[in-house]
Amino acid sequence: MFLSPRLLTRIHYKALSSLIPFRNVRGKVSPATRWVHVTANRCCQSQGPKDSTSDVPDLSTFPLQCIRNFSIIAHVDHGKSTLADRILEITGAIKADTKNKQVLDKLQVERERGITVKAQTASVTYKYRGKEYLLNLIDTPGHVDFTYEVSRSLSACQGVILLVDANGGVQAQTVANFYLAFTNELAIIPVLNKIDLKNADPEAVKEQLFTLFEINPDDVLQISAKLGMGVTNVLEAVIEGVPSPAEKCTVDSPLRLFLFDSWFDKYKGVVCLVLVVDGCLKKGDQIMSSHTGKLYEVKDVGILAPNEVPTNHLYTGQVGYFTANIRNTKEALVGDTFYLKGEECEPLPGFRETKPLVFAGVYPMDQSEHGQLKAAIERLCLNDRSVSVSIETSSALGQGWRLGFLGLLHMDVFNQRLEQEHGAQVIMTTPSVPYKIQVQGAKAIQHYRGEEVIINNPVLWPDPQNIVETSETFVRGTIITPVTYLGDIIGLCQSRRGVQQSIRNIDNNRIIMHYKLPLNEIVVDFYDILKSLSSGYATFDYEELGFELSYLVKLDILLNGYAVPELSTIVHSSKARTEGKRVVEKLKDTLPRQMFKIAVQAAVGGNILARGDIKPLRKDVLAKCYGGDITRKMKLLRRQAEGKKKQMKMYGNIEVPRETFINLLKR
Amino acid sequence: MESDVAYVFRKVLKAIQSKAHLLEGAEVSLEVNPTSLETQTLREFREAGINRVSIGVQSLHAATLKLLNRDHSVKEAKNCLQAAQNLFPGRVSIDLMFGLPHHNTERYEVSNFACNQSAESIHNKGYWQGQQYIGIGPGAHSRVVPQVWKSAEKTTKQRDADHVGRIVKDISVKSDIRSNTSSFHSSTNEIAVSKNNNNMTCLTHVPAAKHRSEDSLCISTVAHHVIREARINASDPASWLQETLKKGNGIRKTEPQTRLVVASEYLASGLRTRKGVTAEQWGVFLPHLSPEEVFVGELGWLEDAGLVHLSPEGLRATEEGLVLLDAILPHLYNILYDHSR
Repeated sequence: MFLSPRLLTRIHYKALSSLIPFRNVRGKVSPATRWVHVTANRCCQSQGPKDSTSDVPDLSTFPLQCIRNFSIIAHVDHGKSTLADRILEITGAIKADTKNKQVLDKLQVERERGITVKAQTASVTYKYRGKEYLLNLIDTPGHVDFTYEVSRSLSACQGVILLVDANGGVQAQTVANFYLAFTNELAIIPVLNKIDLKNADPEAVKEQLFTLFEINPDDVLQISAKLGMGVTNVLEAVIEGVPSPAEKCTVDSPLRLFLFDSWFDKYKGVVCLVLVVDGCLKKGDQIMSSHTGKLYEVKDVGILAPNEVPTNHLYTGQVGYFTANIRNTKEALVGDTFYLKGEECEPLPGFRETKPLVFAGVYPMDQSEHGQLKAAIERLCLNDRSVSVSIETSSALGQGWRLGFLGLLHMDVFNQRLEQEHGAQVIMTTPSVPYKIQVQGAKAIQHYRGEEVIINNPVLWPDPQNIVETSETFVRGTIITPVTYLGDIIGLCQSRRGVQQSIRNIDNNRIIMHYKLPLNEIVVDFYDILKSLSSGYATFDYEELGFELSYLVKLDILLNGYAVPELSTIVHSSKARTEGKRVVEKLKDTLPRQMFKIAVQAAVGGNILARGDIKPLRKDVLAKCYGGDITRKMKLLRRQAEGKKKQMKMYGNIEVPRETFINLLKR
Repeated sequence: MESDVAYVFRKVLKAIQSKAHLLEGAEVSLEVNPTSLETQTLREFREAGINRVSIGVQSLHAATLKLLNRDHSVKEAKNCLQAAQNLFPGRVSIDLMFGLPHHNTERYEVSNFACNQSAESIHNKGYWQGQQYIGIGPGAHSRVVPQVWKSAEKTTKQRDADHVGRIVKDISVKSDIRSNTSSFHSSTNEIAVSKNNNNMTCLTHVPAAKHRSEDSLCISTVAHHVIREARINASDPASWLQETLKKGNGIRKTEPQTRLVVASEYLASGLRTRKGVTAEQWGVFLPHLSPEEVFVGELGWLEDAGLVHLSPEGLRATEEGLVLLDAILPHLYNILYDHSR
């Protein structure tokens, strides 16, 4: 009744997986869920109107009470995509086919990183107890890096399926997402998956769920998405357990659209995913954004089933897409409200600009590639509006940018995509975090345009005498680990200025802890070390807590007394000495010897905290020799001479080649 | 029966003699590999006209020879040396390699050693002084002022490309190869033929020191005058032979060298000698600019640290500087080039 089989989604995913390089490199991530989701949809759209005319359901036949908007939250590998596929199959949206394999789940790095993978957004119908229900499975970005967006997307739902693997049990991301759903007051349908496997221990996992979330074990459904067992029960539980949007939505009120996702299509412009909160949306409507105030005409309206199916209307409580020739994703911000021109309404609550948490400098390997890199960054940001971009110049690395990300994963993914699209290596400097400083002194206040200033780049750190107080961002970290590694992990957190907030058992074998940690202590390598300490078993997640007072200083590096501003970093005063020693040692190893001794020093203010010497070049054995071929020698000489001019930065007499900076600054 | 190689040498030398009037006793130096085969043919080489040999010993250490993939053994090298000394008394030198750590051949240099001054190769000394030389055979190289640069045959294209002008040098058949420096010195030997090139008039009116301060445009242009060619022969014997049969010589690449380039070559090699870069020799290449002018005030800490010494006589490296020469040269190179811009 609904739609003829659409295998495009699956095929496309397969094609995608062959495009995505599987990288085993630590820290590097395959393109994110969001990207996959986006292109999947873009590809699907070629279905086009010609197939849909006969198949389009009459959306007007679904009263508000028969609509269910829900989402699936699950740790990757727990079977979210499989479940989504089954739901689509059962409801006829896609043909049941053994070829429906979950390519997404196989994205290796995502598994390593433990992020939740997006399933598709789709609208399907299901008959239950004589009534036709319209079920809208709304996709969410799964990772806490995108916390704000997750919570916004969840705002479009009235309930979630909490899917947990009966083998692996609850993971850190499961916890994080659960709390999100809980705080948004969504109905939660607990489901255990993979019960067909030998090692499945449903009883134990139900116990975890009870301990952690106070979920009644009797309410927990047990399914095998792979085999299709119990999936209909899930759907029915959703229909029964998830309320209709009737409470939030009013049919007769003027149009209000809640935007919870968008992506860029190069032909149509920005495609917006919306929940129709009030009223009815139709093609040709003139709508306005509450946040930007811009006016658009709706060109196309439809639902995702899971591919784009144009209909002419979208009714109250329904979820679908529209396009309106919007050229810039920054104009379609998640959480925004749209209304009809002339009929301005209360914007839907809680719209908040995403704030970058982690910053990194991005530089081309060679300045000649600057233009290309610029174009690549612009292209990427079209589809990822949460990246903040500002121009930065480093005298060591040349012209580049300082990009702000929502988190480490976000940064990794961006870097990965940048390298793929740019086609060349970029230099990504060590991630840094913003600091807040209160300054004093008329001149300083004038310079920073205010008493409170947020610094993203250590170079802009004010003079110590002008600093009243300093603050840094803190996060609340959630760590789940087997008991065996507990000691090491506690040690790690303590060494990173962590403060334990809670600790308890999930079950006999695993502990869940909450730590308050400074963001700058975890941005560089915390996750990697955690993983290696626990042989990969520990999971970690964090959420931002905001700025808090902290004693921060600027660590300077000096070479024979000359300051090297490019190497300055901001550290907590307790870490200044260790960090200083580390940098001094690294410099000693990477800075090439010169014809005189070099004293390398790390200092805070005027105090030297660490020091090392680089011995001078004493003797070049080959200085006097050479044979006849002067051509070779001259070629070498020319290259060296050029290298000195281009690649060396001089500090007094000391030559510091670009490689040294890269080695010290890169991630 | 004469070996093929000796035959070739004889023919080549004969050809040179008929065209170029080799001086009596001119050095005809051959590089030999000390394999037993070549040792046997040394006598034939002498008969063909060779009067000096440089033996590619490379090392007297068996393991090193193996590392370098050499065809000879230490014993063979010693035999060859002995034979050579008998055949070419006082005119034998050997090549030795320096700087080889025993595990990689990345950074090494070859140096030529002779036991007394008369055994020193003249052409080798020429390297240190930026002199002309011709190398024949695969992998050899030359620095020459070609016999005739036929400006008359210049096409428009050539003229356009030749925007810095050229000097035409007539190689006097009586010119003494040993003292070819004089050919650059005296401006009388430099004949400006191309009347199209304005810069030529400029050159002939700029004697050594006096008019330097005028017309700075002229000076910088002078530095870019092409005064000779660097030639590199095809490196492997097969392609060398192919080239030779095709066009009469084995030259794979010819590069014009401006005064500036020649001066920089002299700078790089001359500094390795005790006397260093002399103002006199420098003046052959850059008559309008003395080393003192180029480097005064620019040497900074190099001079302060006592690594180099600049005087009206020239620029030389001190004992301390000599051992760090490879690190110092790029700086000096840049100073020279920056000055000439």
